[in-house]
Amino acid sequence: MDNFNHLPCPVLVTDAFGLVLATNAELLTLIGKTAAEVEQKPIDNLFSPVSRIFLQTHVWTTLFHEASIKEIYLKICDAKNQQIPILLNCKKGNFEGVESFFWVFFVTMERSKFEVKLLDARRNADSATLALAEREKFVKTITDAMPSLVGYWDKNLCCRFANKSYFEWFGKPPEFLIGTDLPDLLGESLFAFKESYIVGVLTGKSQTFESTIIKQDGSLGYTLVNYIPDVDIHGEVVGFFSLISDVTTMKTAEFELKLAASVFDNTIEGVMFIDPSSVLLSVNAAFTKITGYTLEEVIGQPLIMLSSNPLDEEFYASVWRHIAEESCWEGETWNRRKDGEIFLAWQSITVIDSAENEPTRYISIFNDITEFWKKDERMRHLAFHDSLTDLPNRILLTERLGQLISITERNKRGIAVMFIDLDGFKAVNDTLGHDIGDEVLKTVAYRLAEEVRASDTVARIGGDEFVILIDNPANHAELVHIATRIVLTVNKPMSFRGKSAAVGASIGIAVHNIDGYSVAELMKSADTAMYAAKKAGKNTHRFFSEL
Amino acid sequence: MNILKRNNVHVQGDGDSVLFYAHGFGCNQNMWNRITPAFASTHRQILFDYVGSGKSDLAAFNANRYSNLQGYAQDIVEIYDALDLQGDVTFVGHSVSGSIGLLASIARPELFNRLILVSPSPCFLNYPPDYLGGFEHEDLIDLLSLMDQNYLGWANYFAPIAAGESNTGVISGELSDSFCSTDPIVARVFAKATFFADNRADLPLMSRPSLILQNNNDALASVKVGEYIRSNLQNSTLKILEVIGHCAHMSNPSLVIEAMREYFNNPPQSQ
Repeated sequence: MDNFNHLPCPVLVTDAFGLVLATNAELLTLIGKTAAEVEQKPIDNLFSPVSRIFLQTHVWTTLFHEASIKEIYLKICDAKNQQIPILLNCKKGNFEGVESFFWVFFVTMERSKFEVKLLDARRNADSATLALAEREKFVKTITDAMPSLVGYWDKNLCCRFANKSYFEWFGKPPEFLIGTDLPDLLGESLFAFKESYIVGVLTGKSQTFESTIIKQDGSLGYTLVNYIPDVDIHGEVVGFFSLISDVTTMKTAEFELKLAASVFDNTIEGVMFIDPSSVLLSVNAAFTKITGYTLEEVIGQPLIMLSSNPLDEEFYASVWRHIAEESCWEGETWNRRKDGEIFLAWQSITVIDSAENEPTRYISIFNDITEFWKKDERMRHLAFHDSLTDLPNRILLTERLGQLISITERNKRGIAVMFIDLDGFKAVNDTLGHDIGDEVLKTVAYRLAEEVRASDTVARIGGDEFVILIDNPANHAELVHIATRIVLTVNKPMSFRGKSAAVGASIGIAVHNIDGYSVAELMKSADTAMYAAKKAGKNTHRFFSEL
Repeated sequence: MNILKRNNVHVQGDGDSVLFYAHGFGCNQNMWNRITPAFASTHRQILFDYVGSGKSDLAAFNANRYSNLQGYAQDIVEIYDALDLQGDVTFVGHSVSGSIGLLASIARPELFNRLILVSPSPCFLNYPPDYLGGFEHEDLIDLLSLMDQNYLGWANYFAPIAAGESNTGVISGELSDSFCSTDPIVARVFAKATFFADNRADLPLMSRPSLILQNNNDALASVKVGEYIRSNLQNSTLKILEVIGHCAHMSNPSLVIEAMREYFNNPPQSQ
């Protein structure tokens, strides 16, 4: 053992089970103990508690198994019970004929301090790496959750980052995409399309453009592409970020919207959007053309401003009631243009389907049907009037007489029917011609109208036959008076283009409730009385009741 | 998941009597190779490595599962089930595997015929005055630091370059063949699970008979700790071995073999 004392490091020998057999001077100096205090005791006693655990769980197990161990850090307790870091080597051997273990220690005060720092640095690096990994994971989680394609391409156009959407869009696995060159990924034609933008972003300018793309499943996709340059601290572009959004849905919707807008703008029907309080929200160009009001003039104005009869509250209430029940209404409305002119519109109001939480809107579409209406009115007039004299014809006469009869039955009022047949009209026609005949008829018509009140009706029911309805005549004498005046006025001479004509009038008079009750009875009675007047020498009148 | 591959399970010999060996912290199944030859002709012997130790499948390591001794106990139960072990099965566990076997036998008592606990400790911490496990909390913190310092030198140190993909920290690669080489991350998790465990309250829950082998000069598991276990574990026998250190089955295998045989030959009266 004396030889060990020359060794410049602490050394000891234990038996196969860890009992200390021998020590050297360096060791005893280090631990501040005598050989007697250490020898024949377990080697564990020399070490700190922690080192004892390591000794038992790692060192001894290795020694039993492999017979040697090298460069193990442990802490040995010195004279002042301070823990001194040591590095140990141990090897099985033969000591004085007994199987033993030879232990050599190297005190590593300085080295340990350094290594503790190294270990700290290592731990910091590890936790930094872990934090970085966490951050990357976080960024990846975020970008993977995005429906847009998020990627990063270096200045050599090599993919450095791509999110899940990228993989899905191109139908390629992540390991394929990362490291792929952009031209390879896009293919020749698509790369050619994007090349100018790529060149642009690599000069440091952000790029935004739309691109059409054939997706992996063969469908056509629209994308909005953003390239954002990545500039390092020296101002050099080292790559670029790409953000690609699938705008196919929006594009399609935009197209449909444009289509709807063009319909709105170009339709010849006036279109109004109305809110639930009947305030105008928007109108189209046709609206302006029809009403004369511009969009600016009507927005925010009540719908009623267009009405020709704004006070007809009952009508409008019924319209909105109908809409509430049926979701729509359709009908005619009278309206007033900006210049004050009244016009008739065929108008519909429909509830617009609205999403939940959206206020109800109405769309009103209308046509100006004034011209149709006028034509319609004209047709109606022609149906009920004599085209030559514009007097009511037999149909209208019959209708009015019927009306008067029904009124008379309610309120005691009289009606007289005067049947007038012109005397000598055939001769005028034959000698002066039909043109003059027509002029005669027109003149007679005019003169007859002059002789009666507005409430009375003068009608032409045949060639030279006229009928006058006298509404509520005062008495018999008045009828005589009127008939006499008619004969006189018809008798007045007429002159057309230098030719004179003269006609007379034979008048038969029938009075309601005396000479008949129905239209037919009264007409027949008046006709009969007229013939009596003819027989009596023409140009006179007869009462049916006096025949 | 092939459990037998995951835990590097080795079955030696044949027979109705089974010995199931569980290694302790810092080692692997090879620590039993001075014991197994003695029972080669009489027992079927099962050896394995806990996930993270020896030649187990490191990819199966899950820091969550193995941060608690229950995770290791689950390894044991899974291996029992995979091998369909039942009947005359003796569990032999060293050190922390005593506690792990305890937990496994509480969970599935029908699987455990008897247990042999080699240098067990239900708790390495001191809780004076009633219980002295041998170490203070700070000591054990220092242990982790010492482990790091040593692994820095001689273990394969795989930096946890996880790139955000793994939730356990990726552990990959082959450990070197060195007996006690281990992955430092795994070792840290195992060390914490081992040295901060307190299974004292579980002792009375175990119903299976057991033999406690305690060494008379062991810095990690004292005779007092052995006595504590004996008094809290029903149906248990304490045998003190004249051994220095914590690994009698390696330093003095014959003493351990002798104690095991004696126990097999004179089984305790079952309750």
